Amino acid sequence: MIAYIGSFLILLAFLNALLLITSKPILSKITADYESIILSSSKLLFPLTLFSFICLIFSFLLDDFSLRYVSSNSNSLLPDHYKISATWAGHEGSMLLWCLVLSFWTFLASIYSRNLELDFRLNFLTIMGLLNLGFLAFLIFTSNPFEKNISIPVDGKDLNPLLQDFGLIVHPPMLYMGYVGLSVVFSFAVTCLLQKDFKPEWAKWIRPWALISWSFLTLGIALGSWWAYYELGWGGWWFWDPVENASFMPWLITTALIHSLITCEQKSMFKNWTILLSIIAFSLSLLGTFLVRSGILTSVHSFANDPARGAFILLFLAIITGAALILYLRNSSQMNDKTSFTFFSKESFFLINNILLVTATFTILLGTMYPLVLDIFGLEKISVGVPYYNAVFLPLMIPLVFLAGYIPILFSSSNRNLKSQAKYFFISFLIIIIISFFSISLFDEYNLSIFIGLFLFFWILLNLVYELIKKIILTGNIKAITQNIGMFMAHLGLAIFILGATMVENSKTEKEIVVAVNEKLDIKNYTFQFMNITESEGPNYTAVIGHFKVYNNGEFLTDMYPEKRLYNSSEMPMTEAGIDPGFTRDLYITMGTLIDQDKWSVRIYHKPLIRLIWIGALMMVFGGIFSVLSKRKNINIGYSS
Amino acid sequence: MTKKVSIIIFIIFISMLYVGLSHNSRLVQSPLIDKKLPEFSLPVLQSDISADISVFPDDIFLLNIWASWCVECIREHRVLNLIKEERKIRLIGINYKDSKIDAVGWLKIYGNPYEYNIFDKDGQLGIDLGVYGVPETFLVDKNKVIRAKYIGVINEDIYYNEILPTIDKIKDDY
Amino acid sequence: MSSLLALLPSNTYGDNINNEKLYNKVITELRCMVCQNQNIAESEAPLAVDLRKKVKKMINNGKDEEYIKKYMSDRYSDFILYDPPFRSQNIFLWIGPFIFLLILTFILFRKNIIK
Repeated sequence: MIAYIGSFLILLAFLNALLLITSKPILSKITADYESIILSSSKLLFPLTLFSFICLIFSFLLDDFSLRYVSSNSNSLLPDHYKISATWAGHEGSMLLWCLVLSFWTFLASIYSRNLELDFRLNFLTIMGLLNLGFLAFLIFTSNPFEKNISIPVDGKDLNPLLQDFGLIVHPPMLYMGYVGLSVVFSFAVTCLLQKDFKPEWAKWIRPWALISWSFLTLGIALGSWWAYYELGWGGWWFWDPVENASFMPWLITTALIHSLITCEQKSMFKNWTILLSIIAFSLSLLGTFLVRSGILTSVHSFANDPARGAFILLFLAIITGAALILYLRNSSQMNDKTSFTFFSKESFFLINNILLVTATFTILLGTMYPLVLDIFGLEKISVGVPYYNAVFLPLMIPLVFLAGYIPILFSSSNRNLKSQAKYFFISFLIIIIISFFSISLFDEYNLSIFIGLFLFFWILLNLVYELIKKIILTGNIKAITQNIGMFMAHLGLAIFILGATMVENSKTEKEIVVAVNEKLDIKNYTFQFMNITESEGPNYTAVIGHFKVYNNGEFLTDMYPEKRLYNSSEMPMTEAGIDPGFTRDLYITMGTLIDQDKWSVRIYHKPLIRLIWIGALMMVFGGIFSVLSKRKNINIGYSS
Repeated sequence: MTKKVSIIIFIIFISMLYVGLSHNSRLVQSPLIDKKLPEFSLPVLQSDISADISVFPDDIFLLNIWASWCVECIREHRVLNLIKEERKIRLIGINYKDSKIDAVGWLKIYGNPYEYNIFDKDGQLGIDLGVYGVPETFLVDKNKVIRAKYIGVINEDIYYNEILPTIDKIKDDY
Repeated sequence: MSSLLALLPSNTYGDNINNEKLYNKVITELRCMVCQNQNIAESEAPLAVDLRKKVKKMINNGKDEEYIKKYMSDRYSDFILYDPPFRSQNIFLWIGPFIFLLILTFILFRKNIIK
């Protein structure tokens, strides 16, 4: 019963979207009420999709195995909170989630666009409606989560054990909020092209939307990284997996977009470039959706591979992106874009920032697609993995991060004198080099990568702090903090992230050894003692738990309990790492295999500063949010509800 | 001009993705094609003989990698029995990372189409042959050179439309 | 013990390794051919376990990274290497980003800059 309601609501949503997109072109000829039809239907999409989604959740909670999607992803023994998250664990349900998030953003766009010019607003919402229509069509015709089983199984297949985890509950929704939020920026850019205009106040309008999407993307990616770290049992936090890349590319472009919007707003330049970035950002989101669900690339994230679905998404991607690009090529010359600047200007450096980010995106796209291209042309298959990206991506990032520390202070109002700028630059550069040298002596390893990481960290941190303090002293109040807090937090977050990533990758310790009961092992100043093995049972699995006592410089620190689990539904054993988290380091243990009576192979890791990776990312998330909040007074958009 | 170039690039990109859809990305071409079989020293199943590469005949034959724990091998075995019946090509097996008891028992249940089986308990011969997805089958010519590799289950279609024609082609080369 | 343990491969694992850094580096740069989206360090597939053992043995016998990678790619093709080799078919992969950077900079800066 509930499933029928859910199915029906989706159909209603589809018809609603159809109504939305035909209003302006068709209905406008019949009735003057077409405006209110657009405004209402753009809001109505959300409750319709939301209730349908709730129906799906209830189908899981009630163990409705007559639905194929439920029986494939759930089980009567599955704990309730995982039954709920199982709703978006598979392809069909996650597509419904995508539609839900899209309808939500459409709802927000409808409400908060009151003081856009009416005609612009109607076009804008119509385009959003078009996107909704496309995804709902995909859902209904190829990926209906309410599809029935031919015969009802006694019990479900169970949720993939890897997904029975908190990470699944949060990672996809946050990521989708980011991916789909870019649809707003996209629709806006396309509307600008249609109107052949891009006023600076529009740049101001769209920037919060880009910032919030960016924050969600950052959060989603960070959650994915953290989840992989503690769940996959290897202690890695980024794998350059094709689907990870698919989320990282929009992130890079959106970062470029945020900066480009600043120039657009302040100097009324780079209109065409900003529009192009907006289109590319969302197109990369679509491309990501395609890559994950079509089976075209092997990835740990791949949903059930179905080339037919892949073809549909590809068609959708081709039409949306193709149309937008053609529109861009045709209309951009009429956009009245007077972009000209000197080399040593803020705009110039923002452009360098953009160029580096876009090149980085291209590099990742190249690395991800290259094996496929070779394969298609019948050439020998290769793999492109971590070594490639380290070699090509990192060098691009170094100048970028360097600028991130320097540009915010370079063009602040204080010193405009070129000579004093240069003096400041060289002095600060020297000081920070010295500080970096000093800090590196605190670590055992002397390594160029560590040095660069430390340098960049201090470069950003000290430049920002110095600038902040100077401004506070000069003006006598803390406005310098509150006005730019978003930028400070985000850039600082970047610095912290870089410090963590550099340290953990260059001075981590990993030992893969065989231990007998009561045997001890030393890593740095820690001693690990293997105590025993116990067996236990969870709700839908059996487990073998290792007990380790950890000593720091001889003193007892903590117990650690790495596990190996066998879920009732799966044949592959799963590792649950034992982790002792800390600000300065993580200790990480996984059980390997039983060697002999009482002897196990285990892996023990010491990972210095690894938490900084996610702390830095979180700071960036807050930086994005604060940027929106702190600028609200200046925007004067009227965010009335 | 840039406009036309951009559109062309875009179309090429989409086309590549479309073509890529029909590709099975899991299959990897073996670098051992046209190379001689590797050296080894392993026992023969159900006998006391210790074999090396000279145990293989100076004839064209199929070398099939299988194991009792391999579910797909059960499916394939029907066709292997058929291949033995038709006597168009010789069939030799490598029992991969298995236990003797399990392997022998499995052959009793599903039939033994092999002339004999090399017992590769540790999987080292498997590594030297680049095995990663049992069952796998090599087509070897009379000079012990690998001429083709089939990853996954061999069905009638592959046997009649790929293996046999390839054998004819190899025979023509002599 | 329990059915869980019966499932785990119980072959002898090999000795503790001396050149750990090299070992840890190499096993992250070889792809698991069974679980093709993982490297052999992460993967629990039997082949990954075997290949790890093999790498350990080779390192203990004094073989260097280049030898080990060639050993693997001779048997499993370049697909097993996460570090794409510098062959002519891969040249665009390595040079592409640099070319892109130049072209983009040229396009964006040329029209707009005033000296």
